[in-house]
Amino acid sequence: MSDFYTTLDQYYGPADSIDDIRVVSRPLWFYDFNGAPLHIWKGQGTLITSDNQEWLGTVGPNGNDYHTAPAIQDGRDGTSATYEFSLEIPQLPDQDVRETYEQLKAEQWRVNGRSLWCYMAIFKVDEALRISTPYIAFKELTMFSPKFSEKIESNDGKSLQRKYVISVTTKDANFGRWKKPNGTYTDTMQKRRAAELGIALDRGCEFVATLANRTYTLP
Amino acid sequence: MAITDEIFDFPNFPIEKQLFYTPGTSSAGGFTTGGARIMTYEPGGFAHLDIQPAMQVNEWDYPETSWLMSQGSGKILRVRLAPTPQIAGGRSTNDGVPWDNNSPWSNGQNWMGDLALTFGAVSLKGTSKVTVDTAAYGAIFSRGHLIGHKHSAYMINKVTALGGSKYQLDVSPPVRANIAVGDNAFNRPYFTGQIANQNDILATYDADMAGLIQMPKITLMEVIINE
Repeated sequence: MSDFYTTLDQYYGPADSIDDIRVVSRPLWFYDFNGAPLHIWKGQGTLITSDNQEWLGTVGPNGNDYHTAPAIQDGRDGTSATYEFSLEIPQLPDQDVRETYEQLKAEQWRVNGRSLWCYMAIFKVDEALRISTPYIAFKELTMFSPKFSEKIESNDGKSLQRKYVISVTTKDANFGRWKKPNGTYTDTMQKRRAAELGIALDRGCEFVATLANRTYTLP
Repeated sequence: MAITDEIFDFPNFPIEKQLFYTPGTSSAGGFTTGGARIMTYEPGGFAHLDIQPAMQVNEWDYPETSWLMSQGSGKILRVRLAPTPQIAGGRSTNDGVPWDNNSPWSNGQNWMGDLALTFGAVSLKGTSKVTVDTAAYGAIFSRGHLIGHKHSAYMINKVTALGGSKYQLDVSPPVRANIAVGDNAFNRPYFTGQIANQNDILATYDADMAGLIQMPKITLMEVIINE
């Protein structure tokens, strides 16, 4: 069992009642953009994990989360759900939001096919933002199309505000399983494919012919 | 993408009230047994500072209020906290002339001054315990006082005596920059933040005024300076 679950068990304890549970856990996200990796976590301030990695908090001082992440299934049913992660570009001092938005738009080639890792971290009492328990990965997703949207919102009828949101669409490892195979499962085809790849002889499918016209009973 | 920004000094003018606080937030979720909704505390959190300026005099010559009211667009301001009960060891106990009377003409008299304190142990960025060496000043810190390092102010949540003149302080928010042994510890810290209530702090001038203006309460939210 990993350190993460050992610690979790310690905090979970006998858990006779819900009052027993004293676990503070937060998700961490690693966007592996091509050449520009981004580490963020759902919280306030800069988190430092035991591997000395710094993660930027996505929650602002007033409590709103700029990053939106969907609830994630475990994928054991074989379906490949589509998840959309988005980030509202925050107002930074001396930084034009629209300019940042346009700059990000120009760099969208960094997204396609790259991984998005989802982690979980556990915070012990008094640990604050430097945690000692290793964090665990619970999902790897593949990022596809980035989307860029701008909308005008009314601020309680007082003023209008333009909001810039960037999002990425992701799929998990089940993505692509519906695709039909690019070849037929026969000895002849396997040998031909092997030849194309420069392998002299591939006998891996010689048994296939013997499987035809036989009845199999599954145990 | 690195962002560099200028830090402006908050005007040094008389104030009426000031409060430093670290509310943090809590978050729904965590691990539950039966779908129970559990609120877990925020491990990090940001500090806030409320300042109620006093009636400003002589605005004709030094229009600091005018400047301050225009800094709501996310400008980063560094505030030297005024001596309030949150500042440890601040008030002198001997009989001084009581000039610290909350009036616009308060000159800070009775203020014992900035104590020469140092940190007595290393604290890494992100942790929540610091060790301070109070030297000859003794046990001046207690829960509710503030301690400062570089640009940041911290609220003391717990004090543990380590023997000698060293005290371990549990602070919030977590330490923003690595602390080395011998770094200056400020009993009257600095706070670095942005004005959060831009719309509320505006006050208009009378054209025929004597240069007096009362500015509403200013709320600042902490900004983390990455070094």
